[in-house]
Amino acid sequence: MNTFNMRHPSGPECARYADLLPQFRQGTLTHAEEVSLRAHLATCGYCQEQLASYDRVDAALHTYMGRFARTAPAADDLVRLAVVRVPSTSPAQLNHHQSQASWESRRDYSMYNDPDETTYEMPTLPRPDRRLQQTQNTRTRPVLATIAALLLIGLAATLFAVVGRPSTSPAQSSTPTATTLPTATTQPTATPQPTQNTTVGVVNSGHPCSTDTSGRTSYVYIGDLKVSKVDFANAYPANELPANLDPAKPYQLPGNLPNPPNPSVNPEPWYDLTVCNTSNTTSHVIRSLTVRIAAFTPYSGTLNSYMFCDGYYQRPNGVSGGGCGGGLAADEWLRADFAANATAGAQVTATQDGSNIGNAPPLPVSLGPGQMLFIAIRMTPPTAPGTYTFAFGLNYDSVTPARISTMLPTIFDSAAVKWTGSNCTKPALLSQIPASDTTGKYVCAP
Amino acid sequence: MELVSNLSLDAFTALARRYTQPLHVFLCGLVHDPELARDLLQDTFIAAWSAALHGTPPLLANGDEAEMRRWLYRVAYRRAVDSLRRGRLIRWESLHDLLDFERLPMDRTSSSFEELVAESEAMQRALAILTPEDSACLLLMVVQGFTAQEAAAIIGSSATAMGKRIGRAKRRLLSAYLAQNASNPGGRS
Repeated sequence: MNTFNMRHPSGPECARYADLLPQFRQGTLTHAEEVSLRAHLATCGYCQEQLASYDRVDAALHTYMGRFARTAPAADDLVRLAVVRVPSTSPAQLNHHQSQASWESRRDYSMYNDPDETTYEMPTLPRPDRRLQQTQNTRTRPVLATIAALLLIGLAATLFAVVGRPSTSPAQSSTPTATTLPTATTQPTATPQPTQNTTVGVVNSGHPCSTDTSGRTSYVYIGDLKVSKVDFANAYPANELPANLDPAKPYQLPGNLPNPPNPSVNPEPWYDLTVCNTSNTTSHVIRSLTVRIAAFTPYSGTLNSYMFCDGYYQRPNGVSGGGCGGGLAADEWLRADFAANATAGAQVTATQDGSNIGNAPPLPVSLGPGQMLFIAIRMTPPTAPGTYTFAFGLNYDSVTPARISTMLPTIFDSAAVKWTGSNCTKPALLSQIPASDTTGKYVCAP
Repeated sequence: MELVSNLSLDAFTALARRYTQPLHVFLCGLVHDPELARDLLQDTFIAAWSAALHGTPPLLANGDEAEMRRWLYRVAYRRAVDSLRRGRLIRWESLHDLLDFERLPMDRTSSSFEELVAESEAMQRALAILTPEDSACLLLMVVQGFTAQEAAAIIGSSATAMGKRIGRAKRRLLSAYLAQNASNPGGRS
């Protein structure tokens, strides 16, 4: 730390200025204090060095904080999620007369008591392991309500069939059948469900392309459609570690571990994309997505993997790292399930994922001018361990399919050995991490 | 009463694009956890959009951007402090950040990679000893460039108190930073 060492002794007056020095650059000194300090600084080498030390720490703070800038989420993602989360039907969306009271005087309303305070519990930036909780909590209600309504309708119709129809005998009345219902109009029927071939949902408002906040930088234009490159939906893929690791020894993570991993290993198989209709006049029917195995290379041997969400072990603090979680707010939830033995060339058409309810009607959807869809896809990959390359296509209007994009090769191997920091707490492994090593980050096999 | 217009989505998006990065940096400095910072940042913008829809000043079409900026920072600060106060903060460090040292600014030609890493860790530990209020004061005034008056409005203090607070925070940071670097053999020498 020689750069901070003081070469000048402090003088008798230096103590007077010790509290003022750190404020010198901040504009918080009074005029008299600043004049006095400047005069002292002009003649005091010790305080000049002190001031230089504060300047260096300021610079170090700038440098340190600057690295977080690149980890910031995409601003457009935040906007899209905010728009999704805040009801657009709020009457305040209309222009209105409003007092211009200062915001400071209204902060109790807008900051502390705002209705979104509970959003701590339901973050919606995409993070897979909280996704299902969120969707189950917030999006299954309409489904349950529909099921309940159907059951009530069925119960009512059954009662009507039993009680209302002409009874010829007790035995007959206890065995109602559909053919004995009095009239067709009273027959219980399931709520008509849209089918992919005959019914087309419509999105003409509420999903403007301006909310395409995927943060993607790569798009493909297919006619009027602007489609983002398909990417992981914060799937947290793991890194591939060397294959020859000794599971009886801790492994020190290298400083150059690829980020993002290359190749990606065992990601949560969630993908997403946006489709924007850039036309000002024409609607387009978005029918479905296709996923094709463009390439496959079998993987043999032991696959060692490390995913940062699993943390690492570092002395003296122990297990650190992790912090993964989150949710996803998509307009369409699809799933693409490959057969267990599917290989290169196999293609599936994604279907509606019944376990999640999107913000738009199920596909197919007539996408109005200027409207967009945010589509999430859950994939079930084949079971054979290996490196898969998935290519995505879009079925729209009468086009089947138009190529969208191809993912980088991804290793799926359910038998992969997951190296984690917490595994290193086993005494036999922990004892191998040198007590003096406070910089190495270690992971261990189960 | 004066006729005012709500902030449009386009204007809100532009606002978000300008302040997402600095707000994220600010929150990371407060909670020392980029993932939590992302959540808090998301909450902040949800609150902001809600306020914009409700026509809450200053988030209006004709609102003063400096006030909007302060509003965003104040909400972010309150969310971070609430989060820390609730004791729900588990110290996580994502390797996403820690392993990507090659992107650390290399603005000092005499600094080796190891020295930069050591300095970065020293600063991280030094910041961790500060109270959230002192951290916020430092981050707002030193990193984000707010005046004492603006920082005071954001953290709910007075400008006079901010002077004392920034002085105390910088002294503590300097001491902790020097101690960290001195105890680290890989530190700058």
